[in-house]
Amino acid sequence: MTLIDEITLLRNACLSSLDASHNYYAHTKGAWRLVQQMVWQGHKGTIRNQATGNTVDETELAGLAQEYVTGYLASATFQHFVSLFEQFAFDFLRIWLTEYPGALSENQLEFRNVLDAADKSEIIAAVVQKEVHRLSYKRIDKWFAYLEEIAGLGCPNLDQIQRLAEIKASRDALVHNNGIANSIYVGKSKSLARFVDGARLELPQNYHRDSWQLIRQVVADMADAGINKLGN
Amino acid sequence: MIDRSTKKPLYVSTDGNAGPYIMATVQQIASVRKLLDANNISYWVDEDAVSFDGKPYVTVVNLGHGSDAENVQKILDNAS
Repeated sequence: MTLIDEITLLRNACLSSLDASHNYYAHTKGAWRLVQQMVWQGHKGTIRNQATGNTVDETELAGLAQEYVTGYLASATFQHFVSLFEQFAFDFLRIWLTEYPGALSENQLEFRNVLDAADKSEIIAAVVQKEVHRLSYKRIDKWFAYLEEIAGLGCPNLDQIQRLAEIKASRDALVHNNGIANSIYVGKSKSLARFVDGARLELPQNYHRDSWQLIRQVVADMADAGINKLGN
Repeated sequence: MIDRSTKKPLYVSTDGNAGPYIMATVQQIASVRKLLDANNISYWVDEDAVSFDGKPYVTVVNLGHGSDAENVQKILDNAS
Protein backbone atom coordinates (compact mmCIF):
# COMPACT_ATOMS: atom_id res chain seq x y z
CA MET A 1 0.00 0.00 0.00
CA THR A 2 1.36 3.45 -0.88
CA LEU A 3 1.70 6.21 1.71
CA ILE A 4 -1.02 8.14 -0.10
CA ASP A 5 -3.35 5.15 0.33
CA GLU A 6 -2.42 4.84 4.00
CA ILE A 7 -3.09 8.52 4.68
CA THR A 8 -6.39 8.31 2.81
CA LEU A 9 -7.51 5.33 4.88
CA LEU A 10 -6.39 6.98 8.09
CA ARG A 11 -8.23 10.20 7.27
CA ASN A 12 -11.44 8.41 6.29
CA ALA A 13 -11.39 6.20 9.39
CA CYS A 14 -10.87 9.17 11.69
CA LEU A 15 -13.54 11.33 10.07
CA SER A 16 -15.98 8.43 10.15
CA SER A 17 -15.26 7.86 13.85
CA LEU A 18 -15.65 11.56 14.63
CA ASP A 19 -19.01 11.63 12.87
CA ALA A 20 -20.17 8.47 14.66
CA SER A 21 -19.13 9.94 17.99
CA HIS A 22 -21.01 13.17 17.36
CA ASN A 23 -24.07 11.21 16.25
CA TYR A 24 -23.88 9.23 19.48
CA TYR A 25 -23.81 12.53 21.40
CA ALA A 26 -26.74 14.03 19.47
CA HIS A 27 -28.89 10.91 19.57
CA THR A 28 -28.23 10.17 23.22
CA LYS A 29 -28.98 13.76 24.15
CA GLY A 30 -32.18 13.56 22.12
CA ALA A 31 -33.18 10.39 23.94
CA TRP A 32 -32.69 12.07 27.33
CA ARG A 33 -34.67 15.12 26.17
CA LEU A 34 -37.47 12.73 25.23
CA VAL A 35 -37.38 11.34 28.77
CA GLN A 36 -37.63 14.87 30.18
CA GLN A 37 -40.59 15.64 27.92
CA MET A 38 -42.33 12.42 28.86
CA VAL A 39 -42.04 13.30 32.54
CA TRP A 40 -43.08 16.88 31.79
CA GLN A 41 -46.23 15.50 30.16
CA GLY A 42 -47.07 13.39 33.17
CA HIS A 43 -45.74 9.97 32.24
CA LYS A 44 -44.41 7.73 35.00
CA GLY A 45 -41.50 5.34 35.10
CA THR A 46 -38.91 3.76 37.36
CA ILE A 47 -35.42 2.53 36.62
CA ARG A 48 -33.65 0.11 38.92
CA ASN A 49 -29.95 -0.48 38.62
CA GLN A 50 -29.66 -4.19 39.42
CA ALA A 51 -25.94 -3.84 40.09
CA THR A 52 -26.16 -1.08 42.72
CA GLY A 53 -29.74 -1.49 43.92
CA ASN A 54 -30.36 2.19 43.15
CA THR A 55 -33.92 3.01 42.03
CA VAL A 56 -35.08 6.31 40.54
CA ASP A 57 -38.55 7.47 39.62
CA GLU A 58 -39.52 9.74 36.76
CA THR A 59 -38.97 12.98 38.68
CA GLU A 60 -35.48 12.03 39.75
CA LEU A 61 -34.77 10.78 36.25
CA ALA A 62 -35.73 14.12 34.68
CA GLY A 63 -33.30 15.86 37.03
CA LEU A 64 -30.55 13.38 36.30
CA ALA A 65 -31.19 13.80 32.57
CA GLN A 66 -29.99 17.40 32.60
CA GLU A 67 -26.83 16.45 34.48
CA TYR A 68 -26.18 13.52 32.19
CA VAL A 69 -26.59 15.58 29.02
CA THR A 70 -24.64 18.71 29.99
CA GLY A 71 -22.14 16.92 32.22
CA TYR A 72 -21.29 13.29 31.67
CA LEU A 73 -22.33 12.96 28.02
CA ALA A 74 -20.74 16.19 26.86
CA SER A 75 -17.55 15.36 28.77
CA ALA A 76 -17.28 11.75 27.59
CA THR A 77 -17.82 12.56 23.92
CA PHE A 78 -15.52 15.60 24.09
CA GLN A 79 -12.79 13.40 25.51
CA HIS A 80 -13.44 10.90 22.73
CA PHE A 81 -13.05 13.59 20.04
CA VAL A 82 -9.66 14.54 21.47
CA SER A 83 -8.62 10.91 21.77
CA LEU A 84 -9.52 10.30 18.11
CA PHE A 85 -7.51 13.34 17.09
CA GLU A 86 -4.44 12.22 19.05
CA GLN A 87 -4.67 8.76 17.55
CA PHE A 88 -4.85 10.26 14.05
CA ALA A 89 -1.95 12.66 14.66
CA PHE A 90 0.36 9.94 16.01
CA ASP A 91 -0.63 7.42 13.36
CA PHE A 92 0.04 10.06 10.71
CA LEU A 93 3.47 10.74 12.16
CA ARG A 94 4.19 7.04 12.43
CA ILE A 95 3.35 6.20 8.82
CA TRP A 96 5.19 9.29 7.51
CA LEU A 97 8.32 8.52 9.52
CA THR A 98 8.14 4.87 8.47
CA GLU A 99 8.15 5.95 4.82
CA TYR A 100 10.83 8.62 5.40
CA PRO A 101 12.95 7.38 8.31
CA GLY A 102 15.87 9.61 7.34
CA ALA A 103 14.65 12.18 9.86
CA LEU A 104 15.57 9.68 12.59
CA SER A 105 19.07 8.88 11.35
CA GLU A 106 20.65 10.43 14.47
CA ASN A 107 18.41 8.46 16.86
CA GLN A 108 20.01 5.81 19.00
CA LEU A 109 18.89 2.24 19.37
CA GLU A 110 19.74 -0.59 21.73
CA PHE A 111 21.61 -3.37 19.97
CA ARG A 112 19.06 -5.78 21.45
CA ASN A 113 16.44 -4.30 19.10
CA VAL A 114 18.65 -5.09 16.12
CA LEU A 115 19.26 -8.66 17.31
CA ASP A 116 15.55 -9.22 17.93
CA ALA A 117 14.44 -7.80 14.59
CA ALA A 118 13.64 -10.13 11.72
CA ASP A 119 14.52 -7.50 9.13
CA LYS A 120 15.29 -3.79 8.55
CA SER A 121 11.62 -2.79 8.51
CA GLU A 122 11.21 -4.07 12.07
CA ILE A 123 14.20 -2.01 13.19
CA ILE A 124 12.71 1.10 11.55
CA ALA A 125 9.34 0.36 13.19
CA ALA A 126 10.98 0.16 16.62
CA VAL A 127 12.80 3.47 16.17
CA VAL A 128 9.68 5.18 14.83
CA GLN A 129 7.54 3.86 17.69
CA LYS A 130 10.04 5.13 20.25
CA GLU A 131 10.15 8.56 18.61
CA VAL A 132 6.37 8.92 18.41
CA HIS A 133 6.09 7.80 22.03
CA ARG A 134 8.66 10.42 23.06
CA LEU A 135 6.80 13.12 21.18
CA SER A 136 3.47 12.17 22.75
CA TYR A 137 4.66 13.55 26.09
CA LYS A 138 5.41 16.96 24.62
CA ARG A 139 2.97 19.87 24.35
CA ILE A 140 0.78 19.96 21.29
CA ASP A 141 2.61 22.88 19.69
CA LYS A 142 5.77 20.73 19.73
CA TRP A 143 3.95 17.94 17.86
CA PHE A 144 3.11 20.32 15.03
CA ALA A 145 6.51 21.97 15.00
CA TYR A 146 8.02 18.50 14.61
CA LEU A 147 5.50 17.55 11.92
CA GLU A 148 6.28 20.74 9.99
CA GLU A 149 9.98 19.97 10.20
CA ILE A 150 9.68 16.44 8.80
CA ALA A 151 6.75 16.83 6.42
CA GLY A 152 6.35 20.54 5.66
CA LEU A 153 2.57 20.34 5.36
CA GLY A 154 1.95 24.01 6.13
CA CYS A 155 -0.97 23.16 8.41
CA PRO A 156 -2.59 23.47 10.89
CA ASN A 157 -2.13 27.23 11.24
CA LEU A 158 -1.13 28.98 14.46
CA ASP A 159 -4.68 29.92 15.43
CA GLN A 160 -5.82 26.30 15.01
CA ILE A 161 -2.86 25.01 17.02
CA GLN A 162 -3.63 27.41 19.87
CA ARG A 163 -7.29 26.38 19.87
CA LEU A 164 -6.27 22.71 19.86
CA ALA A 165 -3.94 23.40 22.78
CA GLU A 166 -6.85 24.76 24.83
CA ILE A 167 -9.08 21.85 23.82
CA LYS A 168 -6.45 19.34 24.85
CA ALA A 169 -5.81 21.20 28.10
CA SER A 170 -9.54 21.05 28.83
CA ARG A 171 -9.53 17.32 28.17
CA ASP A 172 -6.51 16.83 30.42
CA ALA A 173 -8.22 18.74 33.25
CA LEU A 174 -11.35 16.61 32.84
CA VAL A 175 -9.34 13.39 32.94
CA HIS A 176 -6.61 14.19 35.45
CA ASN A 177 -8.08 16.91 37.69
CA ASN A 178 -11.73 15.91 38.04
CA GLY A 179 -12.87 18.66 35.69
CA ILE A 180 -11.32 21.52 37.66
CA ALA A 181 -9.12 24.02 35.81
CA ASN A 182 -5.66 24.35 37.36
CA SER A 183 -2.43 26.19 36.66
CA ILE A 184 -1.48 23.54 34.09
CA TYR A 185 -4.71 24.17 32.19
CA VAL A 186 -4.18 27.93 32.30
CA GLY A 187 -0.54 27.60 31.25
CA LYS A 188 -1.26 25.34 28.29
CA SER A 189 -4.28 27.36 27.13
CA LYS A 190 -2.54 30.74 27.40
CA SER A 191 -4.71 33.58 26.08
CA LEU A 192 -7.48 31.14 25.13
CA ALA A 193 -8.05 29.85 28.68
CA ARG A 194 -11.79 29.81 29.30
CA PHE A 195 -11.55 29.31 33.05
CA VAL A 196 -9.33 30.47 35.89
CA ASP A 197 -7.39 28.21 38.22
CA GLY A 198 -9.86 26.41 40.52
CA ALA A 199 -12.98 26.92 38.39
CA ARG A 200 -15.08 23.99 37.21
CA LEU A 201 -14.75 23.42 33.48
CA GLU A 202 -17.95 23.55 31.51
CA LEU A 203 -18.61 22.35 27.99
CA PRO A 204 -21.40 24.48 26.54
CA GLN A 205 -22.88 23.03 23.40
CA ASN A 206 -21.36 25.55 21.00
CA TYR A 207 -17.88 24.93 22.42
CA HIS A 208 -18.44 21.16 22.21
CA ARG A 209 -19.55 21.50 18.58
CA ASP A 210 -16.83 23.99 17.62
CA SER A 211 -14.17 21.69 19.11
CA TRP A 212 -15.48 18.74 17.11
CA GLN A 213 -15.58 20.86 13.94
CA LEU A 214 -12.04 22.13 14.44
CA ILE A 215 -10.67 18.63 15.02
CA ARG A 216 -12.49 17.37 11.96
CA GLN A 217 -11.15 20.24 9.87
CA VAL A 218 -7.56 19.75 11.00
CA VAL A 219 -7.68 16.00 10.32
CA ALA A 220 -8.96 16.63 6.78
CA ASP A 221 -6.45 19.44 6.13
CA MET A 222 -3.45 17.47 7.38
CA ALA A 223 -4.37 14.41 5.36
CA ASP A 224 -5.11 16.38 2.20
CA ALA A 225 -1.89 18.39 2.55
CA GLY A 226 0.08 15.16 2.93
CA ILE A 227 -1.60 13.57 -0.07
CA ASN A 228 -1.03 16.67 -2.22
CA LYS A 229 2.60 16.85 -1.21
CA LEU A 230 3.19 13.19 -2.04
CA GLY A 231 1.33 13.49 -5.31
CA ASN A 232 3.47 16.36 -6.59
CA MET B 1 -44.52 34.03 30.39
CA ILE B 2 -46.95 31.29 29.42
CA ASP B 3 -45.94 28.14 27.59
CA ARG B 4 -48.02 28.26 24.41
CA SER B 5 -48.39 24.49 24.16
CA THR B 6 -49.31 23.66 27.78
CA LYS B 7 -50.88 27.05 28.65
CA LYS B 8 -49.00 26.86 31.94
CA PRO B 9 -46.31 29.31 33.08
CA LEU B 10 -42.81 28.60 31.83
CA TYR B 11 -40.75 27.45 34.76
CA VAL B 12 -37.11 27.14 35.64
CA SER B 13 -36.31 23.55 36.56
CA THR B 14 -33.81 23.13 39.34
CA ASP B 15 -33.86 19.36 39.66
CA GLY B 16 -30.52 17.61 39.57
CA ASN B 17 -27.06 19.14 39.98
CA ALA B 18 -26.46 20.42 36.47
CA GLY B 19 -27.76 23.93 36.99
CA PRO B 20 -31.21 25.29 36.17
CA TYR B 21 -32.83 25.01 32.78
CA ILE B 22 -36.03 25.92 30.97
CA MET B 23 -37.94 23.73 28.53
CA ALA B 24 -39.79 25.71 25.88
CA THR B 25 -41.34 25.13 22.48
CA VAL B 26 -39.30 26.10 19.48
CA GLN B 27 -41.89 28.75 18.56
CA GLN B 28 -41.30 30.47 21.87
CA ILE B 29 -37.54 30.33 22.00
CA ALA B 30 -37.01 33.71 20.36
CA SER B 31 -39.15 35.39 23.03
CA VAL B 32 -37.35 33.59 25.85
CA ARG B 33 -33.95 34.55 24.42
CA LYS B 34 -34.99 38.18 24.04
CA LEU B 35 -36.10 38.25 27.65
CA LEU B 36 -32.92 36.66 28.98
CA ASP B 37 -30.71 38.91 26.83
CA ALA B 38 -32.55 42.00 28.05
CA ASN B 39 -31.80 40.94 31.63
CA ASN B 40 -28.17 39.96 30.98
CA ILE B 41 -28.78 36.32 31.87
CA SER B 42 -26.21 34.01 30.29
CA TYR B 43 -27.51 30.80 28.73
CA TRP B 44 -27.15 28.48 25.79
CA VAL B 45 -29.91 26.83 23.80
CA ASP B 46 -29.78 23.18 22.74
CA GLU B 47 -29.12 22.97 19.02
CA ASP B 48 -31.72 20.27 18.56
CA ALA B 49 -35.38 20.04 19.44
CA VAL B 50 -37.43 16.98 20.25
CA SER B 51 -41.08 16.26 19.57
CA PHE B 52 -42.80 13.59 21.65
CA ASP B 53 -46.06 11.97 20.64
CA GLY B 54 -46.70 14.42 17.80
CA LYS B 55 -46.67 17.46 20.09
CA PRO B 56 -44.78 20.72 19.25
CA TYR B 57 -41.00 20.56 19.16
CA VAL B 58 -39.44 21.44 22.50
CA THR B 59 -35.90 22.52 23.19
CA VAL B 60 -33.93 23.36 26.33
CA VAL B 61 -32.47 26.67 27.47
CA ASN B 62 -29.52 25.79 29.73
CA LEU B 63 -28.70 28.34 32.38
CA GLY B 64 -25.60 26.60 33.75
CA HIS B 65 -24.06 26.39 37.20
CA GLY B 66 -24.14 29.56 39.24
CA SER B 67 -27.25 30.90 37.59
CA ASP B 68 -29.85 32.46 39.92
CA ALA B 69 -32.88 30.27 39.19
CA GLU B 70 -35.21 32.32 41.43
CA ASN B 71 -34.32 35.53 39.68
CA VAL B 72 -34.84 33.98 36.24
CA GLN B 73 -38.20 32.58 37.36
CA LYS B 74 -39.27 36.06 38.49
CA ILE B 75 -38.25 37.48 35.13
CA LEU B 76 -40.31 34.85 33.31
CA ASP B 77 -43.30 35.34 35.63
CA ASN B 78 -43.26 39.11 35.14
CA ALA B 79 -43.09 38.88 31.37
CA SER B 80 -46.30 38.88 29.35
